[in-house]
Amino acid sequence: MTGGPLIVQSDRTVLLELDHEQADDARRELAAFAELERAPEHVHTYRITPLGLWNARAAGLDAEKVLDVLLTRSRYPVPHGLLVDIDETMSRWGRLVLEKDPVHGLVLRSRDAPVLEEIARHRRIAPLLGPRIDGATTVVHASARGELKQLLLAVGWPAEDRAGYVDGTPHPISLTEQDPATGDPWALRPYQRHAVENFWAGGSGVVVLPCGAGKTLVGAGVMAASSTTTLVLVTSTLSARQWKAELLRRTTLTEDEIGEYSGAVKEVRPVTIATYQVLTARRGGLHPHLELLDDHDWGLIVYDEVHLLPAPVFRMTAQLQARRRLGLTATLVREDGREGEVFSLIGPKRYDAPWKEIEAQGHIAPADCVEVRVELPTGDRMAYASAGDADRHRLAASSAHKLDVVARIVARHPGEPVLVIGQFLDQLDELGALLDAPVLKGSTGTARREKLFAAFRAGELPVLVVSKVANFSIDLPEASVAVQVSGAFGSRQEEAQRLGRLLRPKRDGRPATFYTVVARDTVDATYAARRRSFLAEQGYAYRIVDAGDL
Amino acid sequence: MVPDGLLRDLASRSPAELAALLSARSDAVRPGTASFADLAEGLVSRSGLRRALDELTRPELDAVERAVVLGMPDVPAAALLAGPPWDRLHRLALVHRDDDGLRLVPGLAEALGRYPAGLGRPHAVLAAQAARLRRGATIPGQGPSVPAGAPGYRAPADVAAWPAPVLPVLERFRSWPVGVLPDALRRGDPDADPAARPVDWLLARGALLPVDSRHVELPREVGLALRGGDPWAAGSAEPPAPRPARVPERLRDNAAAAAVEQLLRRIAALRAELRERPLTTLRAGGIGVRELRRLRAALELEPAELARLLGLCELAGLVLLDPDTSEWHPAPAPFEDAERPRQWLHVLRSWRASDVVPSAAGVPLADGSVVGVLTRGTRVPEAAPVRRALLGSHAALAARAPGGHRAEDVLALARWRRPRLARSLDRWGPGLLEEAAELGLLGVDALTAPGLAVAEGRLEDAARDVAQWLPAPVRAVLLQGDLTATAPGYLAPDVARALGQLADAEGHGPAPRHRFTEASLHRALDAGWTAAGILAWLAEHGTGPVPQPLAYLVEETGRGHGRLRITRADWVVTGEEDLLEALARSPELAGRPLRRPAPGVLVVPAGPEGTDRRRPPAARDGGLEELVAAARATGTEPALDAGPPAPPVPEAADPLLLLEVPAPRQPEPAAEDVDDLLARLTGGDAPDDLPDTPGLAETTDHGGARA
Repeated sequence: MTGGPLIVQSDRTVLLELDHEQADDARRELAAFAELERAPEHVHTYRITPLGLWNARAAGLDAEKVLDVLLTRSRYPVPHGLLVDIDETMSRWGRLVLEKDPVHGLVLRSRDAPVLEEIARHRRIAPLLGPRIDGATTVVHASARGELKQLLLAVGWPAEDRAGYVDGTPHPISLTEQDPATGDPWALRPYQRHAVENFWAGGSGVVVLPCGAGKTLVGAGVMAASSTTTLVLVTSTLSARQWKAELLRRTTLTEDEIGEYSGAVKEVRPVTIATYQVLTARRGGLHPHLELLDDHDWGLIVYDEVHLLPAPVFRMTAQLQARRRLGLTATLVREDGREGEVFSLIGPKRYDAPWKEIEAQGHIAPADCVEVRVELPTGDRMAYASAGDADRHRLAASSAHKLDVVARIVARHPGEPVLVIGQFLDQLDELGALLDAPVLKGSTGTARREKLFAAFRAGELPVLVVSKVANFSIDLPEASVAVQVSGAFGSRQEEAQRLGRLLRPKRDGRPATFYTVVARDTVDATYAARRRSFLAEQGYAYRIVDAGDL
Repeated sequence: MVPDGLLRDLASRSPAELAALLSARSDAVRPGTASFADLAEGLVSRSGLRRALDELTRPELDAVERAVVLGMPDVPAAALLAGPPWDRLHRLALVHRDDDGLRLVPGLAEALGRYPAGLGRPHAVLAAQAARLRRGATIPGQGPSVPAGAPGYRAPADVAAWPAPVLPVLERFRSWPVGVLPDALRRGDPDADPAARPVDWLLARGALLPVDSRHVELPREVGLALRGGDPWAAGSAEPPAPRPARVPERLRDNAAAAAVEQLLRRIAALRAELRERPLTTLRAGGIGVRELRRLRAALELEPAELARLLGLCELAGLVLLDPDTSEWHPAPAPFEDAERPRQWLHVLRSWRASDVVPSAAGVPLADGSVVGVLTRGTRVPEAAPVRRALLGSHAALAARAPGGHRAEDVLALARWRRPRLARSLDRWGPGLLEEAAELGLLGVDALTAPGLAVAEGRLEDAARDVAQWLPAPVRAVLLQGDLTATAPGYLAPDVARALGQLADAEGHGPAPRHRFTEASLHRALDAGWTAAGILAWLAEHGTGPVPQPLAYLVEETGRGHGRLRITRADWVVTGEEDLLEALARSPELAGRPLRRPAPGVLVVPAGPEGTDRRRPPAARDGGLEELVAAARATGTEPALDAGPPAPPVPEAADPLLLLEVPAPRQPEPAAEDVDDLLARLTGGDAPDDLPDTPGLAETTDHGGARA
């Protein structure tokens, strides 16, 4: 027993006590092989998973070092079974290697003949393999590179992909040194540079950075390092346009070199930004636009918000293993549990930084989260209590008694840009009328959306009411107050994204405030509790106040 | 009848020699033993001799078997006693001096069993028995060429000279003299072709003799001839050589310390679970698959881990079978209140002496079934000597070559050191080694300091060693905004109990984690806590201020608690009018005749109540669950005034004294009795350095091994 800051639990989680003098060193060492699960104020929870251990092996860490960290930093004895399991799991990485053979093309090699034999006899893997060259090498059909990696991961023998990448069509891209809009000099922040370097050294993989920490700039940095034609996949048209604007500001690329491939426009240029939606659009049972991924000689493919990557793109990505792939995300948590596919098809995690650490460095705005509880009057409670399950959420979440509370919150922040976010359109319309603010919904055209967002960014619109269309990838750096008046059935993802909208650093350094208005004693409060669990676990402690105490 | 020679031998021993004898053969000391004659009676009793034989090493047992079968060596006693193995056999009083010779104590040959060294009985004995059997069965046919039971019968000096076709048949009797043969009473045929009918050829020559109608036995003389006349000649005087693996001390102690911490935590978790939901037994005995699955899920254990845990709790008296309900409950003594090293010592002491082998659960039986968890099948009479043999062998290996020793190497040495236990060692040894690892006696296959202390009978020293692995309990928890409390270590039992009432346990490990929820706080409020009391407790036991969201949750829950209140009788629900109205309209209570005797009161007729386990729980609790579900659907957690009273927890200065540990079949005599006898026999001239725990310890091993 060392008296260290780590406590290794028998359920494979590791607790890190932050107040301990060795906490910083231990965190740095631990983060290399364990996934941060929760990061509240005193004790962070990490989890040791096979994916995390293989990520560590991919980054050059060996089992001996991992065991040494646990034994040296752990306050209490570490379950021996866990140590054995870590050693065994990590030893699996690298025993199978995908390589390029000058004669046979793509081959799978192993210095462990029984492993090769085991997988060669696997019912689903065997069809992907070609003839056996010798005891340690077997040919792999080039088109099966992605699928093979997926299956190998599923059977617990992840392959290290050293087969390299196609160069793609060269296209010069550099980062600018001055922001053309302001004339101010700029450069990648240290952690962004670190992320670019780690990614480039690893070949393909995922960079995990919190919302507001400048993932687009990491993308731009990687594009500059690659200097090839690039396909950027994003979640929406708006997001595509923001990527374009950012690339124009931060790189030497010009308008003509950047194309948009969305529902509205289909341009293919040296740098093409496409939406997941258009790629996965079906016509006659086919995905006609999915070909975009493979019809051009891209040297780099960037997947923005990789945790949202839809299944057809996964399938197509399996065919694109010869192209360098960069995944960007704020969280590797997928509500559908497909983290393994991100690992095998996009690549291992190449960089990860906890939100709080970047916030402490001053690169994202600190956030103040407040849950406001509204007491429903007796009549509403009777209606709620007597309603069927299907209607209860709607009744509680869209209670008219929330409107007044929202108005009071907005009044508390005069002169600050306020976003009001909700799920129910009637409620949003009422709020728009009450606050005299425009309402942006799914039915709002892209042109009007852009106009509204531009006005909001310019400070001409003090309040903007938005539906869930605003959840992803819309950069509203000046919003410093958000009021969430209703949300979906407790999606952790949604809450993180909404807060992310507010986390861009403010020019005047003021903090962001995130209000959630919930109806007390109803399912609305239950869902709210679930949604905020993600952020509470990220260290954003909520204050809970009664509406009357505002 | 005890021979005078043995009495004289005993009386001539020095006090130190007598002390060593009593220590090694403490089972010979019975209530009322007061003289050398009494002691000698105990020493030559069948059970006493058997236990002593069980403790002999291979060379020692070989010497005894050889003496029984071929007679004592024709060498003066003084020469024999000068070295192994006779010196130890004498110290254990298995042989005694008589005149100038050395003699086996009476009863020793019988205690060896019917087939010493796997040899059959003498031909004369078998032939006489065969004649009786055949007469009784009136077997017709020719008599054998060598008349059964004829005086002067001599086994063939050279079995190898017999026709080659009969040799494979004889080979089958090499290690055990009895075999199955249909129609075993037939006389065989002296003229049979040995190639076609080898068995008849052998039967006719008395080389196989019937012991009943279906079994034959190889006479001792033939067996000896088959094995070259001296089966012990090839016996190894040297123990198997160790093959240690390098195990750093840090890794060894880490593994063992983690195992001890985990074991005590799991025992506490198991008892807590059984306190809530006792373990029901099957009508046929044992525990059903469904119950075991439930426990495995609750405790997150593998099947074998759970079986071992239940067995350990049983042998330590930590769980008890209620004969009225046929349910296993935790023993009421507050075991968890004892300091953890004492908890460990209690379990260890019980394990060391018990007949129960927890890892026996799951072992296949001859009839195709397996030994059930918490059944008599886990009782193994020789469990204690097998444990001693394993730990002693580990200690011997560690003394010769420090490091990790694989189970097969430990078992190989144990078989050499305790050949009479070989079968039990093979059957139960691997499981017992796993149990030893769970108790922290082994770490990564290497003997730990507590393991060595236990092997040497120094249990209190072992507990002191273990105490260094189990730091003092913490009394403060880290409260966080995500509504969790994390104890940075083992939590003091009273704090843990209180926290367990306030919050739900999460995860498994040395740092207990709890999550506060509305439901957990309602549960605490039902149990008599108040919101203010909870906040005061949190302020006292939390490091730093209570996080605002947690304080709000407590206050909010307290504010809403009791707005609906359910009390026993028919269910009487009192509360605010709108909530009662909503409750009355709820679909869960549709069809039940509700009454509203006064504003703010709703009476729901209770359904039939009973303890019939085949009925769904909702029916067993008089429909309470349905009522609670209906109340929750209105958005309000009801307060229950209907819970059963908690059973009283007994109190004692040392909670371990309250535990009743099942007695082993062969309990060791109390150390005081042994001391008293020694004082009486030596006239108070007893040596001071008696071993503190009685046992059958060896002082030397052949080949330099020590125990």
